[in-house]
Amino acid sequence: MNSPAVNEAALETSTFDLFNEWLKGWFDGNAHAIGAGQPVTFPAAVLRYQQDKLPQPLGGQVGISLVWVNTSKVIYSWKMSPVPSGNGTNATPARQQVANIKTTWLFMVRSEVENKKNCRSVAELLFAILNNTNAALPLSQKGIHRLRPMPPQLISDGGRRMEKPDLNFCLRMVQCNGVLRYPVLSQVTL
Amino acid sequence: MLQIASNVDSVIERTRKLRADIPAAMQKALAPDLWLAQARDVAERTLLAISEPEQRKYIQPFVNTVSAQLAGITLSLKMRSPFQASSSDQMIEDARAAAASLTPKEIVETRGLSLFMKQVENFEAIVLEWVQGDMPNENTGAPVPYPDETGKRKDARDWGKTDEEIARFISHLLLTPDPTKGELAAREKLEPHIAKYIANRLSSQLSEAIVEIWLKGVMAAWRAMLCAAYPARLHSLLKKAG
Repeated sequence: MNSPAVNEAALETSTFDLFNEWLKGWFDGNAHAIGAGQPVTFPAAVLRYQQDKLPQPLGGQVGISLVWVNTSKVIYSWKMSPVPSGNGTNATPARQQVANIKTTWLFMVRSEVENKKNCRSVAELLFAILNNTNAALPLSQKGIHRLRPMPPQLISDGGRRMEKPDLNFCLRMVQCNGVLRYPVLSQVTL
Repeated sequence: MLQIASNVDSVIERTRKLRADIPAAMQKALAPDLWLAQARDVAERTLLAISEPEQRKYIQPFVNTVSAQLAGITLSLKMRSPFQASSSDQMIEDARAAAASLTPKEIVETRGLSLFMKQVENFEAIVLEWVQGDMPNENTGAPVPYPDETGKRKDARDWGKTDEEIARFISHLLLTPDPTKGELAAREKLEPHIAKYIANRLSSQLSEAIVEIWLKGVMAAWRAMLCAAYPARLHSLLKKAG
């Protein structure tokens, strides 16, 4: 992954950039193997973060909107092991203060009602890759650790078109807890 | 020599302390003020993510209805639709009850920030909209849901008055807790028009199906927020209690 590691100077931006790059690699319309499993076809998805608008119409694609719901207080610790530095390379082993933040994200998966099968598929695959340590390894190497997703939750399956004509989309939600870990820049190698 | 000592006293002492500390910390961790801002923030973020671009203008009115209440050890977070929760008749009744509670003493004591004030102001804003509203074009022949209620039909009595003055007078007629005989007669004539206007206005907002999804989405987001934040908050308070 080319995006910079999670860092305190751009906590939200760096986190979203990492998720963006990682998710784009999976949801590209091609087949990928999750961990040691057989390759599975991943539908193409449009990715959006926080208040960014999804394109309308989605044109057969599935939209994934990432919402940042909660962050804990910053928990500090000291480490001797190398930690990813701001530019993504490994720093030399040194005594380094490390910040840890527990976070909760929601991935809102949305599609047009004609494409509801893909909406379910994207939510399930999203859960699978977040849950798979091997698949999520590139994220943990950049500071997004301990991803603990909850199984996808159905918010709307689009209903019956005749009864609810304006309900022309499906919506599923995948909740995921995680830990952001980054070196404290002001405390390097004391 | 074998010596057996018991630490049961210190265990009991610690348990006694925890039995006092835990309920107090639970109560403190549920303080509504702490949660309200976060609940509003999460609701707004969630609705921004699940709404369509043209629906975004409705988000703020929804977020404004978020409230947090503590009853015993139960925290209730609530959000409702600002458009469909009450019927038009109910909305008028609620505004009338709020106006009756809005005594001069209440206004002074709350420095004009009374909750009743907001409800009355919202109603007055709707009446002003009605006064300012355009009459339907009678020549188009296009079907209009409530042909007479998309705006006030102004007559000779309204000449020389601004829309604000007319709206203020109509609001007074509709809401005054002690109407005179004349005011009561005027109220009876005006009220059906205003009620139909409100009904018309409500029907052009978000559909029930979309409202239901918005409420479900925010509820799910709140559950995620509470599951993550409440244990952390409780842990931090217990740690402080020693």
